[in-house]
Amino acid sequence: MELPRWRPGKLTQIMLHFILLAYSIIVLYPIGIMLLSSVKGTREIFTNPYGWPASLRLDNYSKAWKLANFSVYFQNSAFVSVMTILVLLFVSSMAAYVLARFEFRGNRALYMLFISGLMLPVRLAVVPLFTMIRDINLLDTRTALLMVYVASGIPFSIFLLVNFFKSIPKEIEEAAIIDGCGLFSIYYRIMLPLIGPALATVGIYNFIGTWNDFFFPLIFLRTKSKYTIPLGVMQFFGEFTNQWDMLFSSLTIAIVPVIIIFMVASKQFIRGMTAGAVKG
Amino acid sequence: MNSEIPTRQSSFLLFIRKHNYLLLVLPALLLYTVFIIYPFLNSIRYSFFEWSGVGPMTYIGLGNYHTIFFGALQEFFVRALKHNLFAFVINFSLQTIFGLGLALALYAVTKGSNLYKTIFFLPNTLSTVIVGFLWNLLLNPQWGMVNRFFEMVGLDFLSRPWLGDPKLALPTILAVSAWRGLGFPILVYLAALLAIPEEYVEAAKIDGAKGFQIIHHIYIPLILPTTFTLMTLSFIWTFNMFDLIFALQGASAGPNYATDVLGTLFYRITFGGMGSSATGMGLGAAIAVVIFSVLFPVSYLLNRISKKFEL
Amino acid sequence: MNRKQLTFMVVLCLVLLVANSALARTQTVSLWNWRGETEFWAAVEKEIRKEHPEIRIDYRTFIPTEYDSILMVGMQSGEGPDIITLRGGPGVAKFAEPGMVERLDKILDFSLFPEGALTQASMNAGVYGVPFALQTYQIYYNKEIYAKYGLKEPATWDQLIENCRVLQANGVTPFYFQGREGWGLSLVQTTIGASILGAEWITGLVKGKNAFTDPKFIDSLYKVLELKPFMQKNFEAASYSDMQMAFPMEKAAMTFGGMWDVKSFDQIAPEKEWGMFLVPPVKKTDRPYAYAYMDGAYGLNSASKNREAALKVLEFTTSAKFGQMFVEFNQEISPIAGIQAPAELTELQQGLKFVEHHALPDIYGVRSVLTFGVPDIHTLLGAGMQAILSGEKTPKQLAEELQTGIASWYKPFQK
Repeated sequence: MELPRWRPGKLTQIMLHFILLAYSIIVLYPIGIMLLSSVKGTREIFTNPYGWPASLRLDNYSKAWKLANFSVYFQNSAFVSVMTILVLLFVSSMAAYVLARFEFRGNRALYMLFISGLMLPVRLAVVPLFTMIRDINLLDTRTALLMVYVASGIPFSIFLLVNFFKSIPKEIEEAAIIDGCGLFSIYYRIMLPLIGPALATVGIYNFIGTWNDFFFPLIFLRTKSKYTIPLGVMQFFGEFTNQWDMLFSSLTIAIVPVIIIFMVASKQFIRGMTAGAVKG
Repeated sequence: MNSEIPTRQSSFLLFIRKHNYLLLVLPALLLYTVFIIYPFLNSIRYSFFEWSGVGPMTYIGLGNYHTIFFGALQEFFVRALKHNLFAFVINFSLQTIFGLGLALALYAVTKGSNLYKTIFFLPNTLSTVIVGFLWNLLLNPQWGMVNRFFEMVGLDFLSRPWLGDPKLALPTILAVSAWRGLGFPILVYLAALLAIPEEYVEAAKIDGAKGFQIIHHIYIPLILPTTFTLMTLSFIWTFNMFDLIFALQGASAGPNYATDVLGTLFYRITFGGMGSSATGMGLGAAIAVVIFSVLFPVSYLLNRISKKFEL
Repeated sequence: MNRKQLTFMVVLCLVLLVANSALARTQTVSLWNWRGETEFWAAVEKEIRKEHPEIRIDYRTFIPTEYDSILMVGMQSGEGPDIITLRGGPGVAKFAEPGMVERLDKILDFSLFPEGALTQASMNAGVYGVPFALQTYQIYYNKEIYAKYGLKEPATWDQLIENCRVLQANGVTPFYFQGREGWGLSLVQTTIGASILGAEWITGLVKGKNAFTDPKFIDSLYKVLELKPFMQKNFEAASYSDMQMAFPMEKAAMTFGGMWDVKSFDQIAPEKEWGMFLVPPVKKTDRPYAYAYMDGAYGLNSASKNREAALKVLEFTTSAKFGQMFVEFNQEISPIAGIQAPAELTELQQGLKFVEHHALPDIYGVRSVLTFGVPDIHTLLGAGMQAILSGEKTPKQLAEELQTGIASWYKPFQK
């Protein structure tokens, strides 16, 4: 990371750190409370909400895991999220490559058509979407989720990826064309590796969105064995309203995978996100 | 090869051969058209019908729009629209003041900015529903950690029915959503600040400008385009608001509709709620079309304005 | 082929045939509701299979607030269950009107059901659902706390207020109140209204002779406000599930609650004892009334592919045996005549008495005829109570709003 250019003096530095630290606490505190409460008993959560737990009840997790049927939901969420990303990255990077590199009539219009999706909240079209999913016999399937997620991820992905493709110097491709590479292999072998960082950003962004969505599973899924994590948590909250230990530990279980993935990839992700937004 | 339609086929093949790159756009276009564009066009069609979701559809022209703007739904629609606008103003103010402020702090510090960035962005990765559940527990009037914290430190007057008071409920929800979302504007502003050429700052310093003046005369004007971009996003986002309100207050958006926005109104009308028989898929579709027709031109306009400010 | 082999083959064929037909005859009946009764339906299935071994019940429960939308979407797409749990009153009519559930009174025997329960599962004199629960809503009190301060169940409204004063003077929160969800507040208002307004006036209201704007009704709204000083701090943000937890944890001496709450009170504090009483009337000579209503009914999906099997399940739900099981499992009141509550469930026995001797003949809130149109009274009253408790509206304004809202579609109000 390049260094910032404006460097105030020592006293100001300390004050700034104080502000940043204060905000970090505001951000982390509720998450910390959740983690702490998830290893307490219900009564202890009420009597001692802030303190360190009297004993670490790690079995809260296994209890919540079993009660909520989380292993099944996990598999479903993982399947839907991973597949969504793979399909989405493939189709939108191909389209973005073409939109960024080929001059043809209607290019601009096509790009605008895709980008306008950023302003179309898919959720508002849920009724016709539902009717269609029913008519093509995809109701109560994970495929339905996959399709809707891929389609609704396309606008943002194309928006980001077109910007990235445009930033790659044209000479690289020209060399490949001279070497006699076909269109698809230029895209696949040369361009795709170059936009790796952007793909990672798009991938993580959509992973978070897909993993966290509850609306479409709520509408499309019927069978409990197909539920994803947020829907499972929702169901769980409906059933165990009075068992706070279970509620907090189920929240922790639902949140932790995303946090881990984000932590691992945060640097890359933040760079990609902000680069795209600033250019847009 | 069949000789009967040689010209058509070969011209099609020729077109494809010449524009073979279009094949690469096809999968994305197909998915996007089928699962986004087509349902939206259908929404517009439904909005002209009276349809409870079951049974036959009756064409009623602009009847649903009349209900929204002048009829039984007017009061709800106007209130929800006001709440959306309020949410936008608050959201935009918070992200400008705190987002920019914290970004400036991050920009200026010499150490630890990467760690801070990760921390600030962390809540963005959490599902809105789960954030809702979490804060619902934290804001519980009797057992919630928020009120108990205020009581513990002697600020009893701040122990309030946060989500139950019609005056506090929407601001509380917007505060929770800021807690979740502020990381994004912070990072975007930071990136914008880092992109400002050093010469500008140097030149100003030579002219004798001091800390605050530099911020005022150099940084603020230069990050105006970013502010507009964020404003557009904030607008789109607040007009789509639904998840968090749904998780915290349910579709009835209580107390006494104090947190009702167009998104929750749409959901309630489309699917009906507990014990309420008011459902109308056609009416719901009309609300969707109204939301969309506010969203699209306004965000287009905002985007155009922000382009003007770019250097 | 020798004889031994032949016999073997014949036996094998017979076995396969029998096994095959048994397998083929297994019929799975799907049933959805919002009540979280997995164990109960497993027990019901077991009972039904004693007589119809081929029947299986595929029971699914949904989050109460999501149930209606999921059911609506499911029915619309032809993916609905064989047996639909309908909410009483308008919930039945909503599905009966477009013919999505079958008329049942010609197919099933409803002789065990009292007239009152059946009317809320009917449309145009046809019965479209099997009622399964009657609910009453009343005041619960903590017997220990009441005894400690020498309090008695109040016979008049003033005595109730006096009890509250005594409790408050001793540092005990008199009422734990759930102000977060509108529907909970609507239930509280109708519970108070039942005794304050009286059966006669309410019948007059439903017939259109009386109006919400009458001083009598406005007074019943003020009665809720009268309790406000006795509610716990920040009651506006307390949800129904907070109440279910706080009352048994002795955060207050009294609360408004439904029959269905006893089970969760007992789960949280099994050692404690609860008493319950109806809202006392203003004058001692007046009769207290219970806001009793039919909670829901099982309907038969007209598009069911397992009609025969589903009917067998429904048939069982009309039997005394089912009623008995329902009472024992759920500790709620079954509408089926002659069902007795087990001796140890004192609250339930009392609830049965409320239904028998104090039930309003006509109701005006949740599940009543005033919820059949849009806007419905339950929603109006729920949001309206939040508005008057927070001071946004006066009771008079709310009363006017209720009158015009209901009059916009309810014929008897449109004179």
